[in-house]
Amino acid sequence: MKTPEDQEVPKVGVEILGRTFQVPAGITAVDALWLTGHALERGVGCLGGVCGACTMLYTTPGSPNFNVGLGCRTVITEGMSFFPFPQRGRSRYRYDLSEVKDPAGELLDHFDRADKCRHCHGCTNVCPQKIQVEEAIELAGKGEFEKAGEMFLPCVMCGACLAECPEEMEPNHILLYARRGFAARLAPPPQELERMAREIREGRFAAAMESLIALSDEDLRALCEEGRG
Amino acid sequence: MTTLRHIFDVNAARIVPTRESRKNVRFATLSPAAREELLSSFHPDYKAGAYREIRVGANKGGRTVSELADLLESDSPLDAGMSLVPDHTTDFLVIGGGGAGCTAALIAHRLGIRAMIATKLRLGDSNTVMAEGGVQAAVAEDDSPVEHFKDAVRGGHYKNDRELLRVLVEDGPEAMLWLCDQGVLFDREPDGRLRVKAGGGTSRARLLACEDYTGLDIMRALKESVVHSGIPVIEYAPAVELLSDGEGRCTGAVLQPFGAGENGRRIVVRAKTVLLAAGGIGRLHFQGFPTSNHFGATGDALVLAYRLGSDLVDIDTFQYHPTGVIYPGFLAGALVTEGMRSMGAQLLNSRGERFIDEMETRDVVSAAIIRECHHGRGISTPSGKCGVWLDTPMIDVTNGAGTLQARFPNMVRQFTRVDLDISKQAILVYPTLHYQNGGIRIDASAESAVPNLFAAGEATGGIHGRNRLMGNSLLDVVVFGRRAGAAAARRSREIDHGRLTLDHVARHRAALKEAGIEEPLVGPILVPTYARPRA
Repeated sequence: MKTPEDQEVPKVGVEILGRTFQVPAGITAVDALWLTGHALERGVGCLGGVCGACTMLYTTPGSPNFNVGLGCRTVITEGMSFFPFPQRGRSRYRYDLSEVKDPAGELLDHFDRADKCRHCHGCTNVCPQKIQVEEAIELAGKGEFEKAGEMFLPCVMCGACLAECPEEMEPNHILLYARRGFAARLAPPPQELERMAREIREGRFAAAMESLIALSDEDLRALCEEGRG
Repeated sequence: MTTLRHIFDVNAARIVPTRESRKNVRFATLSPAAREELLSSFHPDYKAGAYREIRVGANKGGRTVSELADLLESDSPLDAGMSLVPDHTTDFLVIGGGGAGCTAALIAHRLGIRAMIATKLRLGDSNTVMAEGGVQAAVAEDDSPVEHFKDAVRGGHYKNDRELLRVLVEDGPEAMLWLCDQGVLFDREPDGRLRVKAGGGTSRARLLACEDYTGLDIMRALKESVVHSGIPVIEYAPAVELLSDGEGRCTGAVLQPFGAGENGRRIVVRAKTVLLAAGGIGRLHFQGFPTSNHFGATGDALVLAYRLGSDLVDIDTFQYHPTGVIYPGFLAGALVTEGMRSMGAQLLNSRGERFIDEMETRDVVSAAIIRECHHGRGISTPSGKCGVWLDTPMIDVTNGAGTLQARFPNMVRQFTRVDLDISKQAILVYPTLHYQNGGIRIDASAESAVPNLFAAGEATGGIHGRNRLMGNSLLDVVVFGRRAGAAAARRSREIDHGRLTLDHVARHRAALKEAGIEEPLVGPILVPTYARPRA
């Protein structure tokens, strides 16, 4: 079944794992893999640009550099050459957040290479989410976990910085630790949640809830539609 | 090639000049009768031709979309006589590595129970990670679980299981505190209070969020927690059948690792308790709709539970999220968070006119968009589709320049990649298959009708009735994930491992034969087959 899009769309040449294919312009790398008969089970995840499963390396004509992109969100251009990023290794480090008392003070206890940055910019250069990884790592090292955690928010844990870092610091895991540590220990306690959870435990809403549940369909509807147009 | 910017430029004269006058103007709310009329005329759930009767199993005689009926009537890939010598033995087997599965495994693990996770893709690859807008928990001064209940039951068309809904809203705040302990960082106001925002169908501002990366922040924290706690995880190993003791109790599952081939090696897991936390069905593309779901959302949990005798509720109703991208094609189906509408983004038809209260429930807004396109008031795309405008620049017009970038960095980034500035130009949207409202029937401990088989998250039904509100699914996965983990842990202490049989597969095959179903599909299908680009 041809759509009008197919008829008017020009083709572009793309190299996948060393073989050249013609694919319609305007599609993504993941689409190109499917279209050229690469059945994918590994290397595809959310297809929404947030899980990092489809991370890939690619080159474009005229540029000597490798680029890192998310395959589901990288549109194919003429002459692009790409291959899926190899399977990521897991972090070497282990910590139990519930045991962490002073997240910033304990950073080097949990990540013993967190102070080894040689400022090569590799982590920042490879980040498909354009996070200023190196800068965030520096902030984390200074104990500025709130700011570091904020910069880290868009991270999809693709592991490109982990693979790139010549000091094997594991930048993504350090920054995740910073964000989690800040949330669990340093941020103002979520008092509204604590209050509401306590009131529910103490049964403040139990009677109201029970009478609500016991209502007939008709009465429940009348109550809920009240004042809503 | 016609770009989205080009289409917008042609229409800009009907959109840009009216922005100031549209600011903060709420479109008239529909009466209950008008809502019902709109839904029955245009919502896909009401399209009779897309539905058929189910011919076998606990829901025999009921109706669902034909794609799902085919799957419920599918045959097992297994030979009923296969060897069932266990490769792994554990107390609690969790099938699915998303939000509900990780939560349940962590809770059980903390209670000293041996848990194991098996997941189709990687740990964390799920719909949870994609959730953008937020999670509902009553925290505001004027709010309470009672108000939360009323909003959710209204949103669900009064068909929700009231006991389950009560659990959802009453466990909510405690569950959110647990997330904070896991290292999830919800947005705060400058004074440190939690920031809350409104969602479609909510009478109070009740959504906690991490900008528009809420699911990502939750999933990342839970995943790291699972890995660091040492819970064994088997990735790329979808479950293809549950096991039972021959007397109706669940005793384990069979996994079929990708790449093992048709007759390849399968993994038999023996467990005292099993949790189905394997999510939804978007990748079945009901009625040809695009989907916002992750690659593995193929309804496996429903198929597995059904074969073992569990009944399903409300599987004739699905959520089509109103604002899926419709053009450019490669973004088709991708979600534009409802949070944008709650912050002032408005829907406009081809005349530049609004046509629905943007803060109505999702089913109503979707039906209204379909109505506009049906009546020729949509905007045609070069790919032969139709959509309406979501006027995203209204967020900055309403709240001040820079708000869009500050509050929706994920959305801005998705469009910046294709060189579109959504603070200047509107985008084209159309409903996208987003959520399975119904599913496996469970009780307040998240146990299904099959003893020792639990279910949590999108795989289950009843909580949300016939339409789920924004922010209640992230809540659902955590609340019922916690309940399932705790209940399975209790049960696992009380009982021993049972026999491993595939008796129910033989029974299912006999039922298929009796119903005259020849050459059924082999299911679950595990992944969709895409021979051409999504568009």
